[in-house]
Amino acid sequence: MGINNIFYLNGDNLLGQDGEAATDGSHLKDEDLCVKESGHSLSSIKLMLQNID
Amino acid sequence: MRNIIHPRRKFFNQILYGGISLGLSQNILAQNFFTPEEEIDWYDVKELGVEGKGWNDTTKYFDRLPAKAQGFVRDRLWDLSMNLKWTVLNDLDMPHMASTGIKGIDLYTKYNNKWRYVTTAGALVGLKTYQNKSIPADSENEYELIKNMTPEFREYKLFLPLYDGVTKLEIGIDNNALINKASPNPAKPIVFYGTSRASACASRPGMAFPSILGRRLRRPTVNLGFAGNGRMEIEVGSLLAELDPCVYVIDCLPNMNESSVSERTVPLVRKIREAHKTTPILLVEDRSYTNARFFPARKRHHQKSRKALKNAENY
Repeated sequence: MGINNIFYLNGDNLLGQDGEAATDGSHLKDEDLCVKESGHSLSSIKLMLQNID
Repeated sequence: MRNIIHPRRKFFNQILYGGISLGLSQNILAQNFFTPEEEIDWYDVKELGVEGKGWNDTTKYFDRLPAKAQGFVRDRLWDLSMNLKWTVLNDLDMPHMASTGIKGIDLYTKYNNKWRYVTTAGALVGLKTYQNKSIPADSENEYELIKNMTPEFREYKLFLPLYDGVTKLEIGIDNNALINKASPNPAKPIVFYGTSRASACASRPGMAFPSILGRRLRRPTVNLGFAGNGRMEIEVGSLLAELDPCVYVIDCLPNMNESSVSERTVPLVRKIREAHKTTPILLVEDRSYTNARFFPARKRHHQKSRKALKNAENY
């Protein structure tokens, strides 16, 4: 995009591989969400926040 | 813990808010111990303030978009941000989500400098009976959150409903106890612009992933998840550009397709960049449907929209 500070999060493995992470195949539910979804996002956002306030 | 249904008393008053994911949270300081109801003083949360509101000039206090957005963004988005009076006739239930997440309120407190879950206020309005007692159709929710807790001065945070909206929220404490507004978190917030996945189908409000991230990263979060309507619209981009977050998280793919992703990603990012030259922007792919391996069309949808997003990132 020619713009700096753009980060990208792949979606393929955000919900793990066991197929149990959503209530309806799409919307996330708690347990897997905490460990996999937020865990993955957490590391990405921490990376972005390294040089901010 | 016990639920109280009382048609006239007002505590956690829930309001119908179709298809909305609401991620506001609010801090209070209070000393807590159980007291008879007649000795409770009630405090309007509006007087204490909330954390996670992107704009102050809202039509209704708990709206997520500013008043000026009405007529500016699509009506559907505006509708999603309006709070309606909650009655049993219009109560919101969903086939894939627990009531505690749709319209409950979570209470957290700081313990050893970390946010720890305390309890959830479940909404009884909308149920015809509870524990063999009938519930008046015009009831307002009233829930005793804390009972027999050690009397200490603590900092608390409430997480509001993920789908139903709130128009009024009052906190009642013993009339000998104290309640103060907590010091605002000075850190810049994380702004999430996305879909119903921003609130997901968490069993209670504190378990939505923006809420979890906010606690772990000790930052406010502004949750602009619009169920079915997170579509990278430039009008929303203009509003996002007014905010000053530490990170923008753009998480709209579940409501988009290859064509709209290709068309809108670059303009949205550029709109934000006009106002914020260096603020990180995180583009998030849609999570794979957990059953996508059985439905080729779903898998193809993921592949196409992700390719479009990747192309936009590399544009």
